[in-house]
Amino acid sequence: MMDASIKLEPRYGAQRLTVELTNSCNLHCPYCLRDEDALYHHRAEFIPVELVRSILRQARDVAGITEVGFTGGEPTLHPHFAELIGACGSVGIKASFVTNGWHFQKLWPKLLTHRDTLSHISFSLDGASREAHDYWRGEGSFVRLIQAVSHCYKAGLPFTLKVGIRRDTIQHLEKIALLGARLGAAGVSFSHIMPTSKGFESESSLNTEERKRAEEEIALLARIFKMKLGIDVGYYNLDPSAPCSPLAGASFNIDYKGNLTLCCNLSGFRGAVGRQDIVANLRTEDFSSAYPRLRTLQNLQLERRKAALKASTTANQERDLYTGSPCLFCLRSFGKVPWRAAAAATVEVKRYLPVVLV
Amino acid sequence: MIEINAITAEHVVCTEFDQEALLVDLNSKRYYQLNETALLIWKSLEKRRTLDEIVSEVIAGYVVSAEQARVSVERMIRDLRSYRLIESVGTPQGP
Repeated sequence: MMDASIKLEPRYGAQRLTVELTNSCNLHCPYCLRDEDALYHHRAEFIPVELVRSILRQARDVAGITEVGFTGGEPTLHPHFAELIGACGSVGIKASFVTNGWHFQKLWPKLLTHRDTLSHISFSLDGASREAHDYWRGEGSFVRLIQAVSHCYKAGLPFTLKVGIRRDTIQHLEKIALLGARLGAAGVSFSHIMPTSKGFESESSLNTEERKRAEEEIALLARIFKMKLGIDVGYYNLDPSAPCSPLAGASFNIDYKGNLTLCCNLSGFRGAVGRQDIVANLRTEDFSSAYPRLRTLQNLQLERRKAALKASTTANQERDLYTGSPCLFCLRSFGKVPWRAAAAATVEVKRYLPVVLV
Repeated sequence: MIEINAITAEHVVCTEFDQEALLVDLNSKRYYQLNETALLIWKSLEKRRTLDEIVSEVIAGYVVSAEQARVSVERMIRDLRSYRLIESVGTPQGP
């Protein structure tokens, strides 16, 4: 007998968490959203393996986590990176990570020992050519990325490309998609670049019209290409239901200090003054006792967004990116972009991103 | 001594594995697989070896006659040229 009940629910993917393994990175991409001091001016910190093991077990049991994504900084710099992948496998959790690919060749033999645990690997890509990519990431980055991709291709390990949408990439979305398809990528995932300073926002972030055009182009490409191609959360979206997995309660983040936070895109944000996205430090508190507070924060933020959308609609305002784009809305409401506020002058801001475009 | 007058193209990225390699042509975005012998020839081309030197390396590493080695190396160089994985420099004299 068939179940006659009707259900229509949005899906947000598997229950998952992201773990920032370190604050450190070997590249100096000027658009990076992570705090510049933590990246380059503080000593490198690495989340302890035992802490991750403990969080994995609890997150699986309490929050039903089945997937983990390692990020950073550059996660492969963690001295026990392969062991951390193995730790996921030992508790039945699939692992993935996002990397610039620089150290991939050296890491590869160790990765192969945990092949069954890896669901996929994501590579950050900044353009469809060596020149475009290396402009942001430094000479030699593109070749190393291609070599890393070649390893995955040969071993049949799925890989995806993660591409920031900026003024310089918007003209080349199709070329980037074609590069991914020809290299055998499982997918190309575009996302709007996060604004980290007034200068960077005006120089590289897209304005309202450009965003609309990019989102339409990506939707068109998604219909043409066979591989998975799309835009990550952050696109203009007036639907009041949860726009992303963190606000839907399907994902959350652990930073390299062991803090339980709402979303990896808010974590350690460059120039931020707000820390309300941090729920607890899991070095001193069990995940199980902190998790209900995370759920409360997720629901609260979702309600805030609904209220803002309603107010915007009621006031018949023009398209407002910082309300309509979920990522920008969260950045603003969690105090991550103080330079935008009218009262910015009264807020102590540690450091702005220097825009390096030469 | 026959100069090949060709160098490995800059738009080709070689990734070595244990005994073989993948080439990625960044222009066509295509992969090409090299077996152990082909990789030896590719690396010799990177070092700007002459045809005679490459043939000698092949003979030294594998059980093959000088004549057969020369035929194989010349064929591979022709293939690499046709796929535009190597670029001519100067006046071609060899294969």
